[in-house]
Amino acid sequence: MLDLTTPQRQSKKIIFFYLFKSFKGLFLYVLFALIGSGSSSQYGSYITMFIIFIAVMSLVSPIIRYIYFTFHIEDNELIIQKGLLQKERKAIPLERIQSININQNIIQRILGIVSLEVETAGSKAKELEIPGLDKIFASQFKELLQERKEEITEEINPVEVEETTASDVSQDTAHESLQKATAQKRTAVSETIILKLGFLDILKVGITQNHLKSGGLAIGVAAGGWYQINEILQELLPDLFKEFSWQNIISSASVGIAVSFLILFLFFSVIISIVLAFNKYWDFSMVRKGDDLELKMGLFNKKEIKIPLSKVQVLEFHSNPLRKLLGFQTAYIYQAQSTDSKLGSVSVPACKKEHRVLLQNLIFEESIDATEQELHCNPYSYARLRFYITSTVIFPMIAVAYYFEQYVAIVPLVIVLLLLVFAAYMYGKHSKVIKDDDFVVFQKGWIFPQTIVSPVFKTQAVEKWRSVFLKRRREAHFKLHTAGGTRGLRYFKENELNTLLNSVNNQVIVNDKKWM
Amino acid sequence: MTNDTILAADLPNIEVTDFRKHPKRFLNKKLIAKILVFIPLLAGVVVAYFVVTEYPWLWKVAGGLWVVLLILSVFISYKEYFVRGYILREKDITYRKGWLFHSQITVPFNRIQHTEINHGPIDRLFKLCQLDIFTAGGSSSDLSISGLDPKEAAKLKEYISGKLSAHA
Repeated sequence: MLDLTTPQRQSKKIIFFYLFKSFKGLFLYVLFALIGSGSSSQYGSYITMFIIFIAVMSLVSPIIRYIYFTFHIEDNELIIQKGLLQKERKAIPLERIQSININQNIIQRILGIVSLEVETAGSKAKELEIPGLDKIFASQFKELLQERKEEITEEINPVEVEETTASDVSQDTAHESLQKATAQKRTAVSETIILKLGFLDILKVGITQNHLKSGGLAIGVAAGGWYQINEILQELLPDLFKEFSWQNIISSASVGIAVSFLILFLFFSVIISIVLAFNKYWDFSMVRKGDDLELKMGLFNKKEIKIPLSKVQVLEFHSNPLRKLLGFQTAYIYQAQSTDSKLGSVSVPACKKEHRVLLQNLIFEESIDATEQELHCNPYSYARLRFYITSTVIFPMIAVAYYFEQYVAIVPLVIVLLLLVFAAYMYGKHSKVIKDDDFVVFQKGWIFPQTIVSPVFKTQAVEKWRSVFLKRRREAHFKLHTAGGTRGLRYFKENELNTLLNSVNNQVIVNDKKWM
Repeated sequence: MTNDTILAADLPNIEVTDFRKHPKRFLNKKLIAKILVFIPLLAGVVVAYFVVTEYPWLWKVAGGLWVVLLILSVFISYKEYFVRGYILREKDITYRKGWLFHSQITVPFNRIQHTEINHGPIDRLFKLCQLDIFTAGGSSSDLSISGLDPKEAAKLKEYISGKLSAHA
């Protein structure tokens, strides 16, 4: 059993971690020093001295940071103190802790330490991070926090009376044994594996990734590197570059070259997608432990995420044509989050249909059955809006083409316009809201369909909005505000939307289940 | 004290006629604030008139634009006043606003986190204040009812706080 009543320090290895961090910054200073001492001898020595000062500081500061970073539990609060000159003290009441995550990036991995992240869901962002803990210590710490938190919540809600009068720190043995018993019960009762991804699964996920995105990344990297490569090549092979110019390339470009470029681009996009997928989802597992969902993933940056099931607000399922062939979907789990949190959602790749049902039942208990109310969007409104937006670009281009008497260019422009408008129409046609007694379900999109599931009682507020132009058409947009973000769809019939809004709102009023 | 069973289907719907308007002072404040914003812009036109003498069309265009924008924004403010309003019911509050972009948002009391009354210097000049209602849905679902009579706002806040404690 861990004893955290007195302030504790992190693992000593954290010094190296801090050191590495400051070395990254130091590198620039050294560069300055080289330039500075080289340029002017008069001020050069001052600059070098200054640099040496900074260098010493950056060697000493990790040790200071290590010494002055302590954490402990006091009066049911997790307390972190840090800083020598600028002291900082953070306290989080244990019952407010929402999720405890263990992360590990590549440097931490080399050093064999992990960082523990404690998140709360308050109106003000309050997060704690302890960046350097031994792996075993961290997992024990996590368990301890979890247990203490549950104890406290049990004390607050005396419904589940388990004779826990001994509230304070574990001194008496009876209490401790009780604790052990509950802990054992918890681990014994339920630890079901929901999803585990093997090599082949991750490969499939990588192949079916959105390649355009990773292709864009590839182009970005290539463009950044191009100038440097260009300079080096010009120095090495000056003769060749005299004849080389972009004009030559473009003028001599044939369809064959364009096609081969395209293939090359696609090839690299796919490779990058696969590499990214492996890095992110290596050794992926999702396990249900009691009332929590535990996820593990990552090759270089390892992540361990713990999500209490009751804190999940919204579930989303995304797909694309390639994934559809494999029957895969990506699930996104949205928790109630403090406003500034970077960790908005957790993604679960390669969800088959049965996983999807399982996940949904697990998180939201009731399953979707009889449809009560179905609202379809007006696809013509989507098409109209898309037409207005694209025509502001396309029509001037057509005018330019007409002015320069390049009539052939008008044809592809018109085709692009029609395609975009058609895509918008199909988007609208495939989008709808379904509401039954327990859930509000959004279905969005045509080529990249999304299904968004939100329990009715987790709704925070409902909103209807429209521009003045829609008033005449008696249409309005729908927004559903939850603690996991706002979801919505556009262009519904106003009177139908009103009944939907009223029924959601009235159900929220009547329901006294806790939304978190 | 009553304790009737409440079924979601029996609860009444929101009717358009029930919306409560803001005091007339609010319209005045909005209009004056709009004009105050536009006065510095007029200075630009005047400068153009005196400085750029070789292109007289410039100040004419700028002046014309100024007048058009002023009229437009005053018109929008005027229109907005008549659609802005709230309904306070036993278990929820609905607020609607905006003419060009109209939105109507309903927050049940059992989802409200806390409420706040704010008033700026211009608000105080017109004896107005703003009631902010915070939910857990982030800034997008927070209600801010601006342009309320201070007494009315205090009453509203008290009423809502009473409802909150009943739910907690």
